[in-house]
Amino acid sequence: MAGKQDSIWIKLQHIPREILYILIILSMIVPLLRPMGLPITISPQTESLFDSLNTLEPGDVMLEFIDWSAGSMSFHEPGCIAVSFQAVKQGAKLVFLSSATEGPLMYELMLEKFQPVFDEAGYVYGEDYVYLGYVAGQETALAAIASDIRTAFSIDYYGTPLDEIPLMQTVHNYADYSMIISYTMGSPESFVRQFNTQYNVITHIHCGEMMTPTILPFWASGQITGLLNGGVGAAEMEVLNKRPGDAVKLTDVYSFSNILVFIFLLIGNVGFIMQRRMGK
Amino acid sequence: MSIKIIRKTVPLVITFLVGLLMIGQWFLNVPSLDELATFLQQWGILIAAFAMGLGSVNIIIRSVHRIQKREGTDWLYAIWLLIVFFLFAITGIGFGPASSQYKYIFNTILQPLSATMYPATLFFLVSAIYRTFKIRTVEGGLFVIVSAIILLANAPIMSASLPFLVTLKSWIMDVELTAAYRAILLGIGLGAIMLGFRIIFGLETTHLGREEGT
Amino acid sequence: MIIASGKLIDFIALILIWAVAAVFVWIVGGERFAIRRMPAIDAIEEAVGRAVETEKAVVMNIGGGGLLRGEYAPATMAGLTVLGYVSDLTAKLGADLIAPMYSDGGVETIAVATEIIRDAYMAEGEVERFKSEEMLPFLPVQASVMALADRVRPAANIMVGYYWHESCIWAEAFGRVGAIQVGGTTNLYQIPFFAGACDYVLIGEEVYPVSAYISKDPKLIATIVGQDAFKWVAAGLIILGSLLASFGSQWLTQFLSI
Repeated sequence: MAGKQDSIWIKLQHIPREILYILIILSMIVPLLRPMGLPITISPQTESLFDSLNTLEPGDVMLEFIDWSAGSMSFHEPGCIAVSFQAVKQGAKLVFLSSATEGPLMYELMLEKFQPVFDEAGYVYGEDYVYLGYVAGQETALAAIASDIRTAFSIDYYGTPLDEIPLMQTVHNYADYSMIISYTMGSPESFVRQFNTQYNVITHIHCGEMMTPTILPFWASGQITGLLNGGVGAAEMEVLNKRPGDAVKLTDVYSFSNILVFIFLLIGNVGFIMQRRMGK
Repeated sequence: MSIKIIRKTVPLVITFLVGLLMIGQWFLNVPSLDELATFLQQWGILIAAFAMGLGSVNIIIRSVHRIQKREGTDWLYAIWLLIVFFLFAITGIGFGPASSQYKYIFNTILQPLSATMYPATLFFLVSAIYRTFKIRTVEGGLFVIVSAIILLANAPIMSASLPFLVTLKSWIMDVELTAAYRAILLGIGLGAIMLGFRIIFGLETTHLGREEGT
Repeated sequence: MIIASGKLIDFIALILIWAVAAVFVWIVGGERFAIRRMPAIDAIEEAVGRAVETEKAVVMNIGGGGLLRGEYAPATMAGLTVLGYVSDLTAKLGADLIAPMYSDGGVETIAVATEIIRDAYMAEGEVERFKSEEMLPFLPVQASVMALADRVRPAANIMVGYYWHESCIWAEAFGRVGAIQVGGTTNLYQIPFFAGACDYVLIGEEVYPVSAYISKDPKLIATIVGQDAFKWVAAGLIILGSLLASFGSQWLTQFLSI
């Protein structure tokens, strides 16, 4: 902690944490209360996902792994809604499932917002979309889903045997999946390994911003076709869908908070460099 | 001798056989291997689910011990843990996880708390960035400069207003970062292969406990 | 063909890697080789010593990856190896050890971790100092580990295992109370947080040879040598592939995809 007699440069390096936190909170609250509609640029990774979704044809089956938790719901849910909207627009069938424990409840919350889209498109549960529920086992479960989905699930989330569900009568393994997308904060590489590497299934990922740099090599090599970068990626998807939603509202927050953190970084380093120059 | 066989030899033999089987299933087109591997995968799913149940029992036992000891204030949190635990368990088992009752308690208790804890990372990140990201050395300076570029480029308004930031960020991510992470990934991959070799062939036995007399 | 399509070269590579490792382990022997200094592991002994001097505890965290999930298990195994080493040191030197078990992964590993610590204390004749519930508290959420940092104010915090975003939170929480920090994980997303916030860091694969480094077992060292030999092969292939691709040839990519 800087004392009263310390120079300004030392004080700049010891701004109380409370002040930093208050400023961060303000940088998030103000744009939420007064949205500014700041511009958004579309990244190549999001465009790649959008273009891939546009290759879906009526009847194609897409697997969507609802693997987010309450903590990442703010961006995963709008991302899922935006991607599912595009898939529904193409007439694709959707199989939702979860390999994370909070998945089923996250699905229910997402469905509350997405049901009007299903209703407008005339989608019927069991014929056009289905939710299989949660399966334990992480990558082991993914391997099972890829090789034979019935080894991981015998009934759907509501207790109906898979063979009694019209959609699932034609869905058995990787050969029946046109593409998969995982909304995860866990291990996206496991989806790449079990679906794309093993069976060449088109794989998309929606992960948090901190994970994107490490997933980029997979996108660059083509193992992942589409990659949504956290909240910004979800917002980009909403813009491409021409349906700005919750994610677009948050981009102002991203802008202000990122700039503020940059300012903190600058202040800390200015203080450090000037202190060293002064020889203190 | 028999204890050693049970604690060391049997697990090593199982590890050896299952390890070779799963590797064989990945690489070889042998239908019987596929069937056996699928069977083991199903058991893997069951064991994972069972482990969660076992863990729950473990938590209950530990919490009860803590309540019985009444040391410090931890036992109060143990009581609360048991209350919430049984609330969710009874509601889920009684009404079903898809029921409105279960969804209600999830949406009012777990979801807001979980949503609160995750973004707490931000505050610690800010504090860490401010405290530790200093230009002390050349490498540290590069670290700070790259961090600053990525921070600004990730702000949608900056990337829209200053397109060169996007180009710079793309170059850093697509070239530098990808190269570095690919190298780390290669190393991790090779390391994992060697660790697998050590485990399958019984060279790595830390998880099986200590040898007698060591 | 008996080898699955697209995996022939992968299969041959795996067999070669294992064959080379076997040659090094059982024929050449690891006695003539040495692993380079790993400051992060050396720092553990320094950290435990500091804990003894300041009469504070050592916190050793193996993360929440567990042993049942394929991708996380190797890092957890490495964490358990470090736990064994740290237990040996704390038992020998008389420091207090706390090894919090976190979340789902902690549930899976608590039995193994308990045995490792108990064995270490028994080996040093300090079994009466082994108190399972105090040494291995089950802390289901991140905040409880942060509360531990604030309450215990340890001299050292060692985190080797599989971590998610809690890595940054815990590194910062323990850093604030002045603990020496050693961090290591194979989760790529978290390595930068450890690199920024910890005093010593094990990056990615450096987590794996810990058992070889600590035990100096020639067989384990030999496997590290075999691994390093293939790094040279990988580097050679990268250079060759880059050169070929620069001249428009995809031959190597196609060959490796056979």
